[in-house]
Amino acid sequence: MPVDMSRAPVVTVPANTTKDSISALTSEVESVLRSSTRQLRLDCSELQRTTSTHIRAIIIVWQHCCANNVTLSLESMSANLVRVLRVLDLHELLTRDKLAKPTDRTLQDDSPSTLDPITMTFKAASEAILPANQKFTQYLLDLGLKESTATELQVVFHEIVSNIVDHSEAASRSDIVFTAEPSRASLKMTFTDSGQPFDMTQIPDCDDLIALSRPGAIRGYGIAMIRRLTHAQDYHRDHDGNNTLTLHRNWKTKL
Amino acid sequence: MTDGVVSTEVLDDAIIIRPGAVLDNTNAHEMANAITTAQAGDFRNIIVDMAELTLISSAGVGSILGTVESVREGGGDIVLCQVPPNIKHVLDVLDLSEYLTIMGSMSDAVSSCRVAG
Repeated sequence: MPVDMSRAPVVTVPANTTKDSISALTSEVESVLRSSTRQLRLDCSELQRTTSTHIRAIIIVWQHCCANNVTLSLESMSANLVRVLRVLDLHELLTRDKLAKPTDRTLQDDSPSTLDPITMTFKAASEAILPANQKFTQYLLDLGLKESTATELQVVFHEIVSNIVDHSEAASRSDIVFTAEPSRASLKMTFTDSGQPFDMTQIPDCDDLIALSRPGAIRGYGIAMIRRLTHAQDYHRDHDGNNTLTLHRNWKTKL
Repeated sequence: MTDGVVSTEVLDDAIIIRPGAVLDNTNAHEMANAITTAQAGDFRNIIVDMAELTLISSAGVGSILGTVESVREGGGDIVLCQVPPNIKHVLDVLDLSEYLTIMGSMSDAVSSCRVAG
């Protein structure tokens, strides 16, 4: 079971933390740790503009927690703070306790119990998206996949089909032909349409949604999501103007 | 599965936004607008009740990612609650669970808003 952090004590890292005031923060943390708590929540909401002193303060708190066998949860981190921690290669280390729980996806085998392929043909129109998605989701469950795995693939399907519909011309709605071919190793998903060409493999490689986020930016996360939820992507446009996007999802490899 | 219809409810000093069953490009702008409208209405903390949600797309995620920083800079937060396990799983895989504030029940979310408020 995941650790319930909701009732753990909270310590806030102030925005105006300086080298001199880190000791006050450390004292506050030590005081909390003396109360025999097993969890501590570190509120980082004030750190909208991250400095090296902030990072130092977080590391010191983390060190104190490690020394006392206390689980530390960094909370309300700004996108900027997450980016800085990732650049410094500290993000996983500082949040490792959560990642190492029994739900760790690296240990899971997501393979299906049957290997029946499916082909679906439907209009590249918005009203066709949800019915097609429902049919695909039922197919995934019929394969015997775990519900969480089916959800991941359902999201991928919805993302690709929505994108094709968005880029197809209303006056000449073409069909989308979708095939799914499961094997013991992976699921191969192929989407073919005759709309505008779009090669997602040519988009600069970024699968970090937080790094991509900008105030007011609602769109622009789709490719990152697909890269997160599949293991390989390939695009081809033939001489007849047909686009084919092929995605692979391995069953035994970490996403 | 029904289309997502974004609804808003004011509960005491908290505002609750419900995206419906689907949060995708059909209602992501409506969702983002509901959040910015709540923020403009002096609600610092905004609860997003995901109890009915069965599918979230990149635009759905974007409606939250594109507004959360602004809400936080205003001293508040967007609190997701009653997140179905499958939606939570997607947020986990996308490495968003730590970045976004997720509470279990509605009462937890309302309480956290009162404490933070």
